[in-house]
Amino acid sequence: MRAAHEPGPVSWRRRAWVTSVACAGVLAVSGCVPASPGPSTYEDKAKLTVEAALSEVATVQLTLQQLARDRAFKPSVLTQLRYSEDSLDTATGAFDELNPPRTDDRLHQRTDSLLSAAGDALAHTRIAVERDERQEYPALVSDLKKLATRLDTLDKQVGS
Amino acid sequence: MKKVFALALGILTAIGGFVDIGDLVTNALVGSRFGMSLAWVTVLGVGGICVFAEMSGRVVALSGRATFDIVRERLGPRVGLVNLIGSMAVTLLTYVAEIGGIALALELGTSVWEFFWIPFIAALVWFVLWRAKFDLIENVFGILGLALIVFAVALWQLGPDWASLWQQASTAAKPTNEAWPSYWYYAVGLFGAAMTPYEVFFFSSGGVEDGWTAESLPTMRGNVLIGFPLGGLLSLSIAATATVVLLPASIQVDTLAQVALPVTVALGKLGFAFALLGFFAATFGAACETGLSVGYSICQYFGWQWGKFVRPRQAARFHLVILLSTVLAAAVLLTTVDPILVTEFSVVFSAIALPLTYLPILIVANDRQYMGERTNGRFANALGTGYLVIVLVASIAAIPLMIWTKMGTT
Repeated sequence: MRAAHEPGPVSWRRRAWVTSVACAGVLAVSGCVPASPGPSTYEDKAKLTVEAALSEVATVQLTLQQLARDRAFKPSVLTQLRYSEDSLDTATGAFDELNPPRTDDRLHQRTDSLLSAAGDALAHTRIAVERDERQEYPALVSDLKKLATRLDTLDKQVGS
Repeated sequence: MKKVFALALGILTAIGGFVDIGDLVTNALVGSRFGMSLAWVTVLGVGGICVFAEMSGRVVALSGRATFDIVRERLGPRVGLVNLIGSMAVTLLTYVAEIGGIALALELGTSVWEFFWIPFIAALVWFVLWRAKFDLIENVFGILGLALIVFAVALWQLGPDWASLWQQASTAAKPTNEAWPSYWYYAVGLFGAAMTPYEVFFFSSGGVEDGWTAESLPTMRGNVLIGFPLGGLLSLSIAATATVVLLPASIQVDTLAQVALPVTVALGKLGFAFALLGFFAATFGAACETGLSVGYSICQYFGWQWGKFVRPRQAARFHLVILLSTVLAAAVLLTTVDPILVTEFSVVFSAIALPLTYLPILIVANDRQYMGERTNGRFANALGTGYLVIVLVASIAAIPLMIWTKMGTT
């Protein structure tokens, strides 16, 4: 016969259930808090973000180059531009949510400014292609090329 | 003359039908990140699919029954059910990816949002599977898929440093900025893409649809041993064009437009149009194959009438399964999930499910009750067993590598 105060199988089940809910709650709440990674993790994230941005800028540059030479169809270029802007937004959004460590303030500023420049460049390109402003294409290609070089340089510096 | 024509047509459709959305995306992605250093995986995967497709083709030609029709009978309902659930989950995921791939190809040609296309594509795929004859589905999309040869032409036009490409492929040395876990993760994905389970379901059941007999063996072997390796060359061309154009520009593939970009650079609008036609044919053909495979496998397990060789009314459950899986695939895509991401998942999960598909084939191909004198010889068994070990290793490694590398992003 079990003593009155002894936990029975029902109370064990209840305790397990409460613990599970509590764990899920902690996980959910911690997921909502902006992450504050250490310097090494932050630099890894910055590198990944810069690489993603470089990929999109280089794609748009190469695609626009083909359109400028009348070697690409406008609908496919517009489709790629839409995807590149979306990808860049996603990468930038994820990076912006991170709280930079004090030691990485300069990296944060450089990355942030380059990501912002990349977003502007892609938006300008989309507008120019949509409006068929062909005379703008060479300057845009040149800007995208310079931006890609700057992103590549930052990528190499973060990696070293 | 008729036999030669049948062989030639079979080889051409095997080449054109070899590449699907998984091959397109994975090969371009791997080429843009690892160059040709993973080419050996494609060669290995093509070898594997040849070995097992030949075995399952032989089973069909000699027994007149699809391989997975025999699996339940030979291995019992429980093992058959495990096989069915594992393989079907992956085939359905692949079906979702293929329908998404068609939508991406149409979006690329029209600039109309991909999700707008999905209900129309799903309806069209279902209609084709319901109304069109089997050989029409097989041949039309297989032949149109040959448009992907444009990748080989583009590679030649780009004038790459062939010695460097060969050196990357033969030494399997990854770029220094990439990590080994990611290298192996993509190796598993590429292997899964080359040996996708639905390919043998379709090949084996298609043999019954085509009425293969022992006399069909030479044609079947020609299709497999010539057509599939040549299809594998298309995969390698896609990876090579990405290596030449995208890798030096630091472009990582995450859209179908990026897969076609090297062709545009090399051949301009005409090349792009061919690539687009190839994408459409490859994904539409593969969507038909995966849709039929879902119907084949479920009906074969439950012993229901299946196939396109009977009127839809006589195989009502078969067509209902196809209809329901098409609705499910469209519903998944309409959640606005990225079809490229679904493709990446589908090739990795294919790798996980490979042993469930290939072990039964090896067992049935050694069973005298079905095969008579033509069971596997020593050479076929040695190859089959060797591949089974590789398949098992890939299957076990897939999930840990996926978690470790965060799906290849680290």
